[in-house]
Amino acid sequence: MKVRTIFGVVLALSAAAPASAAPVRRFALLLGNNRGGPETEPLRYAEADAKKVQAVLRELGGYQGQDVVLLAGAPADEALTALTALEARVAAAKAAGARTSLLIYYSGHAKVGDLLMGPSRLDMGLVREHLKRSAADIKIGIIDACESGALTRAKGGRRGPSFLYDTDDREATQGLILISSSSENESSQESDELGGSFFTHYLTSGLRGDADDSGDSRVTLGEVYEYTYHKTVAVTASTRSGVQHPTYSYDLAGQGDIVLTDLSKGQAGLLFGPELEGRYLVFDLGREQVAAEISKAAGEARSIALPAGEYAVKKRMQDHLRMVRLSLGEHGAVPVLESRMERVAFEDDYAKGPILRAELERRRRRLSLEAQVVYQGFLSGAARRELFPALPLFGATGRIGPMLGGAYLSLDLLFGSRRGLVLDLGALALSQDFFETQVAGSLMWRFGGSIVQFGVGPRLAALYMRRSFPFDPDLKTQDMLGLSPAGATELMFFVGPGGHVVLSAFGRAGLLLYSVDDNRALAYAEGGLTVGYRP
Amino acid sequence: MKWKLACVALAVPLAACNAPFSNDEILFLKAAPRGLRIEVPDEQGVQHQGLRVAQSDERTPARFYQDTLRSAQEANDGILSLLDMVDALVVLEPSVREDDKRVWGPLPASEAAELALVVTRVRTATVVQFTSTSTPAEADQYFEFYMAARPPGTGDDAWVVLFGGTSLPQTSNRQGTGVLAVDFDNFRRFDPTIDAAGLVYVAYDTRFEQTAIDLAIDVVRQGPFMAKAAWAYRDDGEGGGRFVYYLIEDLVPTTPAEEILGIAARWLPTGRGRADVVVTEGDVPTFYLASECWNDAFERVYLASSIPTPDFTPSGEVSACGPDLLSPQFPDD
Repeated sequence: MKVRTIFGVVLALSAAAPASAAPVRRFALLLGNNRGGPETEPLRYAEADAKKVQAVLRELGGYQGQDVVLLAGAPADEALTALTALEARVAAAKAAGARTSLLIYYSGHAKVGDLLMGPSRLDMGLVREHLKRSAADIKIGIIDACESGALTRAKGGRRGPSFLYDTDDREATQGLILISSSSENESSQESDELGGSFFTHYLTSGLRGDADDSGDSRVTLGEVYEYTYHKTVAVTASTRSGVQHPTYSYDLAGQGDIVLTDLSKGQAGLLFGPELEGRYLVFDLGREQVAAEISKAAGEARSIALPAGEYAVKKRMQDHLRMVRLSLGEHGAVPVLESRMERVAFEDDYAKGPILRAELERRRRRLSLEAQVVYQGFLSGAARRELFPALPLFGATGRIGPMLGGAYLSLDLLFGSRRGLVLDLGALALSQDFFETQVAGSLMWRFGGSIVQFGVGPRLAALYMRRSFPFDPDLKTQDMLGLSPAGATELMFFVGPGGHVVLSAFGRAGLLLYSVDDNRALAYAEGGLTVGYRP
Repeated sequence: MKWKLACVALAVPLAACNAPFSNDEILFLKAAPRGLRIEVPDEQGVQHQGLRVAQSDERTPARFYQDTLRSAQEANDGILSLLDMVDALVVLEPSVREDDKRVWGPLPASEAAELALVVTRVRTATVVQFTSTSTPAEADQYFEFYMAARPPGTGDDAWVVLFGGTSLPQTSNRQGTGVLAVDFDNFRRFDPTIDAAGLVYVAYDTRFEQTAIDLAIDVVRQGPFMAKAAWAYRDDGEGGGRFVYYLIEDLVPTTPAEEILGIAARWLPTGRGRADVVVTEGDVPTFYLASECWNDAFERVYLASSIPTPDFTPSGEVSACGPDLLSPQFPDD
């Protein structure tokens, strides 16, 4: 509401103010860095977000190719060097008489006022100072990072009239505006479904047309900020990390709003007619990423500008998706028709980004069946001599997962036997045949990639042991059934085409509770190999 | 039975259906001696080895061999067969399972008696040597056992011990060493037809694939150790053996005085053997000595007698005994 009020005032003022402006030359430095150095988990989409912004600025924002500098994964000193060089070019353009704008966009980690760029840090205050000192007429800083509200705090700007650039005859607007994706103590979140951060996703969707509330085919800073703010707050309210509030500050002079994208510059696009209602995701099949999102009510038409390519539009229903494939040429708007959308099951969603696809693949419950060979030995020499001899076991292992909190459930069925062993009871020595059956279940949590994974987890085995004395007719066959808790580790390899062949080496340590002659917890160890197939 | 049926029906090895997985179960089961036998070769036994030599009608059966065989059979069928009572009990599940004790029974054995076998473990390090020729054995525990009987339906106070002793089980197939005493006076309380009396002591050692059995018969209960008869049996584990027995009895009816008879018999795996006999005391003022050799068909091939009689007329040459059996070994040797 606050945002709407402020920008509403700005727009109201701008409507009454005359302005005249020369054509603007626009410069942008776009920074994306997935890595934030020690103590941070790598991001998945920060660098992709910067590329999305680059695309929309070039296609719809009037930015010339050479004036947009994109640095993906660059350290702080490289970013500062690029900024300094870009400022020089801004100053040169300004000296040549052009009106100029400079936009700095950053997507990545941030903490305690610093942008974390790999192992290096860049002070947000320094970025702000660079923007303030820049010769550009319009300076925009957008930080999509955790705790990025540090950029906008203590700004001291005023609530002045909005500004426009070369859009009408009102007085050209000048000054600085800073936007952050979250407040000072909030996290900025990514979405696997969207293939990017929530904030940048809505920023670019809005710039592509979904924020064009006025329907004038131009998306202003006020429109896109308000759109991005509300979408981000609404969507992140239900996430595990909590709601995320974008913030802004400004120091502007002049009148008119700042137009960031002109949809008429896009030569192709999708047209969502009045009959459509709801939230639609537009997926760029060629780039394997979400290109835009449209949320609309029935009765209004909405268009978004997109480059030529293959797209899928999908709408999430309660228990399925509705999807349609569309091909965009170089020119013209293609309508999205409800009647052409088909029902698609969630698992058959063909519009997923590679990371999400990999993640879903990782989460996909899979069954494997493996042959197993294992050698079992009790740690106590007395236990081996008098009760349970060392034994090779053979059998099968079935695994299914992930399930139960990401764990894999394994079931082992093993058999082993040895003949002619000596049962050494000190004064009494006997020849025995020994047999063991083991039925075990384990829950293994796995870590690692798609080829090599390390697993660890608990195991519970039921052990049936039987010994007979073929050369001693006086003695009956003896047997016991015991429960054995154990811990297990495994190193798994998924090899071959599609990773269908499973190889693993494992080790286990367990206790067998023996309570016949006396009560003892006998420790044993097992090691072995498996080889099998995973469909 | 239902449990057993369930095991069979399931046909999976997931239920413990057999005896407990217990070393103690084995040790206690092995504690009481079983299957002791004096194995003197006979015609059938040697035939089984394929060594039988055709017997000619002109030959004379070896008299002392037959005495030896008969004495061994009497020991097997008499005293040692009593140990078969152990077999009858230990096929049952123990009625008492304690850390150091097992009890099998009571088992109704006849209208006159029910039986119980009690085995206790003594956790004391010891060195045992039960027969005169046993290799001493070190053990950190040994077992005591006794077979008891009582009239059916009576209380615990009615139990009397039929036989009991001490043992050290070792290796498989009923091997071990131990000593036991059989109380025939107590046996007669349940079976008056038994004509034996007093105590019989049996020491045995069946370790190392060899067998040594010493028996002392009709031992006087009090006073110095006296026996009316004694056996000592040794086999070499390869078919050869030695059997010595003494008998105190009125063998020469001239006067009621008792003579002492001693026979020392030894044989080779083929069955060929030699017996050396001594009779003294009573109506034999000096020694009567005799030696007999027999061939693989248990026919006399040599006889020497210090007092020739119609039954014991010297015959043959000592060389017919064969090189291993040329020298006499009288019981006192």
